[in-house]
Amino acid sequence: MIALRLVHLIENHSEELAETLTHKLLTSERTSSLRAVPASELHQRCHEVYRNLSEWILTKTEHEIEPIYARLGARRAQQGVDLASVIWALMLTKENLFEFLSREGIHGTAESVFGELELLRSLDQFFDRAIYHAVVGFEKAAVPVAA
Amino acid sequence: MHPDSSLWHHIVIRYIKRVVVADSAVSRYAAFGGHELSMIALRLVRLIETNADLLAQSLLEKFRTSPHTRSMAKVPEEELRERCAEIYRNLSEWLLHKTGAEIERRYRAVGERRAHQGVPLADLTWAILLTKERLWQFLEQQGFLRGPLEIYGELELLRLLDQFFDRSACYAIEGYERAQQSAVRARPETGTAGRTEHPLPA
Repeated sequence: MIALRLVHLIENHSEELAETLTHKLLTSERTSSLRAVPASELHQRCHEVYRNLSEWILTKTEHEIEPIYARLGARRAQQGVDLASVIWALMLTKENLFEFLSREGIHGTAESVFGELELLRSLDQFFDRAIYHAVVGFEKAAVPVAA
Repeated sequence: MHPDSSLWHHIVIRYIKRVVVADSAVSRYAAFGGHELSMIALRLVRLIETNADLLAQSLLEKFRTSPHTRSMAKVPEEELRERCAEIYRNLSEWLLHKTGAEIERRYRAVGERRAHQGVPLADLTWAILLTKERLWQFLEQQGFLRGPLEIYGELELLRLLDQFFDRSACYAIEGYERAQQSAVRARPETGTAGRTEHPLPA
Protein backbone atom coordinates (compact mmCIF):
# COMPACT_ATOMS: atom_id res chain seq x y z
CA MET A 1 0.00 0.00 0.00
CA ILE A 2 1.48 3.28 -1.09
CA ALA A 3 2.17 5.89 1.59
CA LEU A 4 -0.88 8.09 1.01
CA ARG A 5 -0.04 10.10 4.09
CA LEU A 6 3.10 11.31 2.35
CA VAL A 7 1.30 12.06 -0.89
CA HIS A 8 -1.14 14.26 0.97
CA LEU A 9 1.69 15.89 2.87
CA ILE A 10 3.26 16.85 -0.44
CA GLU A 11 0.00 18.18 -1.84
CA ASN A 12 -0.61 20.25 1.28
CA HIS A 13 2.83 21.83 0.91
CA SER A 14 2.66 22.22 -2.84
CA GLU A 15 2.94 26.00 -2.75
CA GLU A 16 6.08 25.94 -0.61
CA LEU A 17 7.56 23.17 -2.78
CA ALA A 18 6.82 25.11 -5.96
CA GLU A 19 8.43 28.18 -4.48
CA THR A 20 11.71 26.45 -3.63
CA LEU A 21 11.80 24.61 -6.93
CA THR A 22 11.21 27.76 -8.97
CA HIS A 23 14.09 29.40 -7.13
CA LYS A 24 16.36 26.42 -7.87
CA LEU A 25 15.40 26.37 -11.53
CA LEU A 26 16.11 30.05 -11.93
CA THR A 27 19.45 29.97 -10.13
CA SER A 28 20.97 26.64 -11.17
CA GLU A 29 23.64 26.84 -13.84
CA ARG A 30 22.35 23.61 -15.43
CA THR A 31 18.92 25.09 -16.02
CA SER A 32 20.01 28.57 -17.01
CA SER A 33 18.14 28.52 -20.31
CA LEU A 34 14.89 28.14 -18.38
CA ARG A 35 15.19 31.84 -17.66
CA ALA A 36 13.59 32.26 -21.07
CA VAL A 37 10.36 31.01 -19.48
CA PRO A 38 8.33 33.61 -17.58
CA ALA A 39 8.81 33.03 -13.83
CA SER A 40 5.06 32.98 -13.23
CA GLU A 41 4.60 30.23 -15.82
CA LEU A 42 7.42 28.23 -14.28
CA HIS A 43 5.97 28.57 -10.81
CA GLN A 44 2.50 27.63 -12.02
CA ARG A 45 3.89 24.52 -13.70
CA CYS A 46 5.81 23.42 -10.59
CA HIS A 47 2.80 24.01 -8.40
CA GLU A 48 0.51 22.04 -10.66
CA VAL A 49 2.68 18.91 -10.47
CA TYR A 50 2.95 18.94 -6.68
CA ARG A 51 -0.66 19.96 -6.05
CA ASN A 52 -2.09 17.03 -7.98
CA LEU A 53 0.54 14.46 -7.19
CA SER A 54 -1.86 11.74 -6.01
CA GLU A 55 -3.68 12.00 -9.32
CA TRP A 56 -0.45 11.86 -11.27
CA ILE A 57 0.96 8.79 -9.64
CA LEU A 58 -2.17 6.89 -8.69
CA THR A 59 -4.77 7.45 -11.37
CA LYS A 60 -3.20 8.94 -14.51
CA THR A 61 -2.33 6.42 -17.18
CA GLU A 62 0.66 6.48 -19.48
CA HIS A 63 -1.63 7.85 -22.19
CA GLU A 64 -2.58 10.77 -20.01
CA ILE A 65 0.98 11.56 -18.99
CA GLU A 66 2.15 11.44 -22.59
CA PRO A 67 0.31 14.42 -24.15
CA ILE A 68 0.90 16.67 -21.17
CA TYR A 69 4.65 16.18 -21.08
CA ALA A 70 4.95 16.12 -24.84
CA ARG A 71 3.26 19.53 -24.86
CA LEU A 72 5.58 20.76 -22.14
CA GLY A 73 8.61 19.64 -24.16
CA ALA A 74 7.26 21.29 -27.30
CA ARG A 75 6.56 24.55 -25.49
CA ARG A 76 10.03 24.72 -24.02
CA ALA A 77 11.52 24.08 -27.47
CA GLN A 78 9.52 26.99 -28.84
CA GLN A 79 10.67 29.16 -25.96
CA GLY A 80 14.28 28.47 -26.89
CA VAL A 81 15.09 26.38 -23.82
CA ASP A 82 17.70 23.68 -24.49
CA LEU A 83 16.68 20.09 -23.93
CA ALA A 84 19.32 19.37 -21.32
CA SER A 85 17.83 22.14 -19.15
CA VAL A 86 14.35 20.67 -19.53
CA ILE A 87 15.60 17.28 -18.38
CA TRP A 88 17.57 18.68 -15.46
CA ALA A 89 14.48 20.62 -14.45
CA LEU A 90 12.39 17.45 -14.33
CA MET A 91 15.04 15.72 -12.28
CA LEU A 92 15.23 18.69 -9.93
CA THR A 93 11.45 18.49 -9.54
CA LYS A 94 11.83 14.94 -8.26
CA GLU A 95 14.86 15.80 -6.17
CA ASN A 96 13.13 18.75 -4.53
CA LEU A 97 10.37 16.37 -3.53
CA PHE A 98 12.79 13.86 -2.06
CA GLU A 99 14.51 16.57 -0.03
CA PHE A 100 11.17 17.67 1.33
CA LEU A 101 10.20 14.11 2.29
CA SER A 102 13.55 13.63 3.91
CA ARG A 103 12.95 16.71 6.08
CA GLU A 104 9.30 16.32 6.83
CA GLY A 105 7.70 13.06 6.19
CA ILE A 106 9.59 9.82 6.11
CA HIS A 107 9.16 7.67 9.20
CA GLY A 108 10.97 4.48 8.26
CA THR A 109 8.97 2.36 10.70
CA ALA A 110 8.20 -1.30 10.09
CA GLU A 111 4.61 -0.42 9.28
CA SER A 112 5.46 2.36 6.88
CA VAL A 113 8.67 1.36 5.15
CA PHE A 114 7.05 -0.75 2.45
CA GLY A 115 4.52 1.97 1.60
CA GLU A 116 7.27 4.56 1.51
CA LEU A 117 9.39 2.41 -0.73
CA GLU A 118 6.41 1.90 -3.00
CA LEU A 119 5.80 5.64 -3.15
CA LEU A 120 9.41 6.36 -4.02
CA ARG A 121 9.34 3.82 -6.81
CA SER A 122 6.05 5.22 -8.14
CA LEU A 123 7.51 8.71 -8.13
CA ASP A 124 10.60 7.48 -9.91
CA GLN A 125 8.54 5.76 -12.59
CA PHE A 126 6.33 8.80 -13.05
CA PHE A 127 9.27 11.13 -13.54
CA ASP A 128 11.00 8.68 -15.88
CA ARG A 129 7.94 8.73 -18.09
CA ALA A 130 7.61 12.48 -17.85
CA ILE A 131 11.21 12.82 -19.02
CA TYR A 132 10.71 10.50 -21.96
CA HIS A 133 7.56 12.23 -23.19
CA ALA A 134 9.09 15.67 -22.72
CA VAL A 135 11.99 14.57 -24.95
CA VAL A 136 9.56 13.30 -27.58
CA GLY A 137 7.58 16.54 -27.55
CA PHE A 138 10.70 18.65 -27.64
CA GLU A 139 12.19 16.75 -30.56
CA LYS A 140 8.98 16.91 -32.56
CA ALA A 141 8.79 20.65 -32.09
CA ALA A 142 12.45 20.96 -33.05
CA VAL A 143 12.32 18.93 -36.28
CA PRO A 144 10.62 20.91 -39.06
CA VAL A 145 12.73 24.04 -39.16
CA ALA A 146 15.86 22.93 -40.97
CA ALA A 147 14.43 20.96 -43.86
CA MET B 1 25.82 19.24 -11.29
CA HIS B 2 23.38 16.71 -10.06
CA PRO B 3 20.71 17.26 -7.49
CA ASP B 4 22.04 14.95 -4.81
CA SER B 5 19.51 13.50 -2.40
CA SER B 6 20.00 12.11 1.05
CA LEU B 7 16.48 10.75 1.21
CA TRP B 8 17.36 7.11 0.83
CA HIS B 9 20.02 7.30 3.45
CA HIS B 10 17.61 9.10 5.72
CA ILE B 11 14.94 6.40 5.36
CA VAL B 12 17.46 3.69 6.00
CA ILE B 13 18.82 5.32 9.14
CA ARG B 14 15.35 5.80 10.58
CA TYR B 15 14.38 2.29 9.66
CA ILE B 16 17.45 0.89 11.32
CA LYS B 17 16.97 2.90 14.47
CA ARG B 18 13.33 2.02 14.91
CA VAL B 19 12.94 -1.45 13.53
CA VAL B 20 16.09 -3.53 13.39
CA VAL B 21 18.37 -1.84 15.82
CA ALA B 22 18.86 -5.06 17.80
CA ASP B 23 20.48 -6.78 14.87
CA SER B 24 24.23 -6.89 15.37
CA ALA B 25 25.05 -6.23 11.74
CA VAL B 26 22.85 -3.18 11.86
CA SER B 27 24.51 -1.94 15.01
CA ARG B 28 27.84 -2.20 13.27
CA TYR B 29 26.39 -0.19 10.46
CA ALA B 30 25.65 2.62 12.89
CA ALA B 31 29.12 2.37 14.42
CA PHE B 32 31.06 2.40 11.18
CA GLY B 33 29.17 5.01 9.28
CA GLY B 34 27.51 2.99 6.61
CA HIS B 35 29.99 0.29 5.59
CA GLU B 36 27.86 -2.63 6.76
CA LEU B 37 24.91 -1.26 4.88
CA SER B 38 26.97 -0.84 1.78
CA MET B 39 27.94 -4.48 2.05
CA ILE B 40 24.29 -5.50 1.92
CA ALA B 41 23.64 -3.26 -1.06
CA LEU B 42 26.82 -4.64 -2.54
CA ARG B 43 25.47 -8.18 -2.24
CA LEU B 44 22.55 -7.17 -4.45
CA VAL B 45 24.93 -5.53 -6.87
CA ARG B 46 27.06 -8.68 -7.02
CA LEU B 47 23.97 -10.69 -7.86
CA ILE B 48 23.33 -8.35 -10.75
CA GLU B 49 26.93 -8.55 -11.92
CA THR B 50 26.89 -12.35 -11.83
CA ASN B 51 23.80 -12.35 -14.05
CA ALA B 52 25.03 -9.58 -16.35
CA ASP B 53 24.87 -11.56 -19.58
CA LEU B 54 21.38 -12.83 -18.86
CA LEU B 55 20.21 -9.34 -18.00
CA ALA B 56 21.81 -7.87 -21.09
CA GLN B 57 20.09 -10.45 -23.25
CA SER B 58 16.65 -9.74 -21.81
CA LEU B 59 17.27 -6.00 -22.07
CA LEU B 60 18.07 -6.35 -25.77
CA GLU B 61 14.80 -8.23 -26.15
CA LYS B 62 13.00 -5.33 -24.49
CA PHE B 63 14.67 -2.86 -26.87
CA ARG B 64 13.50 -4.96 -29.78
CA THR B 65 9.90 -5.21 -28.65
CA SER B 66 9.27 -1.81 -27.07
CA PRO B 67 7.69 0.72 -29.45
CA HIS B 68 9.73 3.39 -27.68
CA THR B 69 13.12 1.90 -28.60
CA ARG B 70 12.61 0.68 -32.16
CA SER B 71 15.44 2.80 -33.50
CA MET B 72 17.95 1.13 -31.23
CA ALA B 73 18.01 -1.45 -34.05
CA LYS B 74 20.28 1.03 -35.84
CA VAL B 75 23.00 0.16 -33.36
CA PRO B 76 24.86 -3.05 -34.26
CA GLU B 77 23.54 -5.83 -32.03
CA GLU B 78 26.95 -6.83 -30.76
CA GLU B 79 27.76 -3.27 -29.76
CA LEU B 80 24.45 -2.91 -27.96
CA ARG B 81 24.82 -6.25 -26.18
CA GLU B 82 28.33 -5.39 -25.07
CA ARG B 83 27.19 -1.97 -23.86
CA CYS B 84 24.33 -3.42 -21.78
CA ALA B 85 26.44 -6.25 -20.37
CA GLU B 86 29.24 -3.84 -19.54
CA ILE B 87 27.00 -1.71 -17.33
CA TYR B 88 25.55 -4.69 -15.46
CA ARG B 89 28.87 -6.53 -15.25
CA ASN B 90 30.65 -3.57 -13.67
CA LEU B 91 27.77 -2.10 -11.73
CA SER B 92 29.65 -1.83 -8.45
CA GLU B 93 32.39 0.05 -10.25
CA TRP B 94 29.90 2.47 -11.78
CA LEU B 95 27.90 2.98 -8.61
CA LEU B 96 30.60 3.09 -6.01
CA HIS B 97 33.89 4.13 -7.57
CA LYS B 98 33.36 6.15 -10.73
CA THR B 99 33.39 9.90 -10.30
CA GLY B 100 30.80 12.26 -11.70
CA ALA B 101 33.35 13.35 -14.30
CA GLU B 102 33.85 9.76 -15.48
CA ILE B 103 30.13 9.16 -15.80
CA GLU B 104 29.83 12.47 -17.63
CA ARG B 105 32.57 11.56 -20.08
CA ARG B 106 31.19 8.10 -20.78
CA TYR B 107 27.58 9.08 -21.28
CA ARG B 108 28.31 12.13 -23.34
CA ALA B 109 30.24 9.83 -25.65
CA VAL B 110 27.32 7.40 -25.76
CA GLY B 111 24.95 10.24 -26.60
CA GLU B 112 27.23 11.47 -29.37
CA ARG B 113 27.62 8.00 -30.83
CA ARG B 114 23.88 7.32 -30.89
CA ALA B 115 23.33 10.67 -32.57
CA HIS B 116 25.76 9.71 -35.30
CA GLN B 117 24.05 6.34 -35.63
CA GLY B 118 20.74 8.09 -36.28
CA VAL B 119 19.00 6.91 -33.11
CA PRO B 120 16.38 9.46 -32.04
CA LEU B 121 17.06 11.02 -28.68
CA ALA B 122 13.73 9.82 -27.28
CA ASP B 123 14.67 6.20 -28.01
CA LEU B 124 18.04 6.64 -26.36
CA THR B 125 16.41 8.18 -23.28
CA TRP B 126 13.89 5.36 -23.01
CA ALA B 127 16.66 2.79 -23.41
CA ILE B 128 18.54 4.24 -20.44
CA LEU B 129 15.39 4.25 -18.33
CA LEU B 130 14.66 0.65 -19.35
CA THR B 131 18.16 -0.35 -18.29
CA LYS B 132 17.34 0.78 -14.77
CA GLU B 133 13.84 -0.72 -14.82
CA ARG B 134 15.18 -4.10 -15.85
CA LEU B 135 17.26 -4.23 -12.67
CA TRP B 136 14.23 -3.81 -10.45
CA GLN B 137 12.32 -6.47 -12.25
CA PHE B 138 15.28 -8.79 -11.83
CA LEU B 139 15.59 -8.17 -8.08
CA GLU B 140 11.86 -8.69 -7.66
CA GLN B 141 11.99 -11.93 -9.65
CA GLN B 142 14.81 -13.13 -7.45
CA GLY B 143 12.59 -12.77 -4.41
CA PHE B 144 14.63 -10.13 -2.68
CA LEU B 145 13.22 -7.18 -0.80
CA ARG B 146 11.48 -9.24 1.87
CA GLY B 147 13.39 -9.15 5.13
CA PRO B 148 14.66 -6.07 6.99
CA LEU B 149 18.26 -6.45 5.85
CA GLU B 150 17.22 -6.74 2.23
CA ILE B 151 14.87 -3.79 2.52
CA TYR B 152 17.49 -1.35 3.66
CA GLY B 153 20.03 -2.85 1.30
CA GLU B 154 17.56 -2.22 -1.45
CA LEU B 155 16.92 1.34 -0.34
CA GLU B 156 20.61 2.07 -0.44
CA LEU B 157 20.89 0.50 -3.86
CA LEU B 158 17.83 2.41 -5.07
CA ARG B 159 19.47 5.67 -4.14
CA LEU B 160 22.70 4.83 -5.91
CA LEU B 161 20.99 3.54 -9.02
CA ASP B 162 18.68 6.50 -9.18
CA GLN B 163 21.56 8.94 -9.02
CA PHE B 164 23.61 7.00 -11.52
CA PHE B 165 20.89 6.65 -14.13
CA ASP B 166 19.69 10.23 -13.73
CA ARG B 167 23.23 11.39 -14.41
CA SER B 168 23.62 8.98 -17.29
CA ALA B 169 20.46 10.23 -18.99
CA CYS B 170 21.43 13.87 -18.58
CA TYR B 171 24.95 13.44 -19.88
CA ALA B 172 23.81 11.29 -22.78
CA ILE B 173 21.33 13.98 -23.77
CA GLU B 174 24.01 16.65 -23.50
CA GLY B 175 26.37 14.59 -25.65
CA TYR B 176 23.64 13.98 -28.18
CA GLU B 177 22.80 17.67 -28.39
CA ARG B 178 26.46 18.58 -28.79
CA ALA B 179 26.77 16.15 -31.68
CA GLN B 180 23.73 17.72 -33.30
CA GLN B 181 25.14 21.20 -32.86
CA SER B 182 28.50 20.17 -34.30
CA ALA B 183 26.77 18.69 -37.33
CA VAL B 184 24.85 21.92 -37.85
CA ARG B 185 28.06 23.95 -37.64
CA ALA B 186 29.79 21.60 -40.08
CA ARG B 187 27.00 21.81 -42.62
CA PRO B 188 27.31 24.23 -45.56
CA GLU B 189 25.10 27.31 -45.33
CA THR B 190 21.65 26.52 -46.76
CA GLY B 191 19.89 29.67 -45.81
CA THR B 192 17.79 27.94 -43.16
CA ALA B 193 18.73 29.11 -39.73
CA GLY B 194 17.82 27.48 -36.48
CA ARG B 195 17.48 23.90 -35.44
CA THR B 196 18.99 20.83 -36.93
CA GLU B 197 17.16 18.29 -38.97
CA HIS B 198 16.75 15.07 -37.03
CA PRO B 199 18.11 12.49 -36.87
CA LEU B 200 21.67 13.29 -37.84
CA PRO B 201 23.25 11.66 -40.83
CA ALA B 202 25.61 8.86 -39.83
